Amino acid sequence: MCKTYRSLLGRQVRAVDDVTLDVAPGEVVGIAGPNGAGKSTIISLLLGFLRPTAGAVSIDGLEPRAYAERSGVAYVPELMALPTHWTGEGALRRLAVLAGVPGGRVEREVDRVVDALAIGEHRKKRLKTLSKGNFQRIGIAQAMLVDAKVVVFDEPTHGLDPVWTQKFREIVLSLKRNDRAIIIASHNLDELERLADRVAIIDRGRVQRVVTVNAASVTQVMAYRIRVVAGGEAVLARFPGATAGANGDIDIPAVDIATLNANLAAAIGGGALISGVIPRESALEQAFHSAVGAGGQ
Amino acid sequence: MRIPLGYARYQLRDSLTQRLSLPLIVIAMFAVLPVYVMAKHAAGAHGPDEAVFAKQLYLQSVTLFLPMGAFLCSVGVASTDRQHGYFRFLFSKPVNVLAYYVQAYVVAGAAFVVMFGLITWGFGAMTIHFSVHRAMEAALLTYVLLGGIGFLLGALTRFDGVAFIAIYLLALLLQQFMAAPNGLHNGGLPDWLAAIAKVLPPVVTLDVLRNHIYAAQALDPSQLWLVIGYGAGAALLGLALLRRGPLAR
Repeated sequence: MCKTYRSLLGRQVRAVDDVTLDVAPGEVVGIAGPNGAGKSTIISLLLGFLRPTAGAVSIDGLEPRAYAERSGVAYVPELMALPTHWTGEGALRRLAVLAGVPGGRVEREVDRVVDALAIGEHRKKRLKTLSKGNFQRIGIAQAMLVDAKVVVFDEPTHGLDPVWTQKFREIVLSLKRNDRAIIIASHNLDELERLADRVAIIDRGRVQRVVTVNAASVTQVMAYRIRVVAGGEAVLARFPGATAGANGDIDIPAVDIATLNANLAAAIGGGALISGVIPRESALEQAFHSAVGAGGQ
Repeated sequence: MRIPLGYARYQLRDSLTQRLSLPLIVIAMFAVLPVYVMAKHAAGAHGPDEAVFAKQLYLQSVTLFLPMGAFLCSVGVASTDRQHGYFRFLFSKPVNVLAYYVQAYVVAGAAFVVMFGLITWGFGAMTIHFSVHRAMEAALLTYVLLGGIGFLLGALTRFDGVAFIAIYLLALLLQQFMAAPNGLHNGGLPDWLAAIAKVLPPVVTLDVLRNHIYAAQALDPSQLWLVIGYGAGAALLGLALLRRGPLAR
């Protein structure tokens, strides 16, 4: 699909350029990219809020608006826009009614999502008085009112504190189901690496690469940081090009996993005491930086 | 197609609290003086002067309230959600967009008509009798025309409020000019301005019809169908635009 915007002066901007992406039921797919890469435009196309200039989007064989109007999509937008004079529970009640929750079950469903997101103390407050993080939790709560087979999060942890960022990950994992597709657009590569099965890296409106996450292989070549308690010289001797940091950590250049293990075994045999081995960049970060370039994030 | 009938009560509440509160204040201000004058006299002993005074004030408030109420009830119905991004929450739910907006338009109109009937009844109870059903007929006709225009403009632009006022005032000015009994062709307007006046909403014809309703006179069917057709056509065009256009801008 493509999406081109045309200004009043006739200038064309191609926000999405020949993007092809399939998401299967049971899958969690991330969309990563720098600011202005086209992530939110892709989400708007996916939900039928925008129409593609060329190409097509379909969900379960239907045009997106037809699908959303028939089945609903659990969606947390990047921009938390609701009338701010509504209270938290007022907003959830209204959205539950729109979600098709029968009248007699609305209160129960609102209570359920309020409990799940621990927003009980904020439910009677007007939205304008809520912090960004609590407003975001209302946004996540309203998405959980629909038992949808398509779940879309656009920058879902934006504004959440570390505790709720962690809880959000648990929520996503609890939402994972064989008949449900989950799409997460995020800047946060660490978050996508923890949650997604695949990540599409978008830049300048194009899918630059699709990375399968957590598929480590013996041929994977990565740079590591080795946390050394004692015997750092044995590590330095085994890894040509390694450099020692001020705090005793040793950065080693990119090696495959077999070489890493063999050299570490030799270093330990030579007296090194190692407390940790950490990839300096995850596979996803590596892929992201090579796809987008150093200025990407 | 799922019609969000259960949501109508929220749309009604929004109409009453956000849209009709200002016209209610205006009408209350208009009502204070005649009610005070009447209250100074014993019940049932209103003199002809007080009755004329009350009637004049009522008709003046109608002239102001009805267009203002129709404006406030229809402007923003189709534009606010898209302007502020609320549509992302509303229409990710299994809701038909057109059904949602048709319902919002109808609920706002019904609230407007019923509210005006109640105001007329209350005003009449405190001063002299006014026909509630005629008042509601006039309100309905006003909403069909001006509400339809407001709905169409909301589907077209986020500046629907400003556009509505500009179009209403221009139509009123040009059509009053054309209708001036000065013996000149088109009231002296150049042909091109007269052509513009004719395609603008028939607000002067609406005034004529409203006066006939209050005077319990027969309505000219061609005038009636012009007003109803124009308003309904505008509302249908607004729906077609909503169906065809993207929700996000």
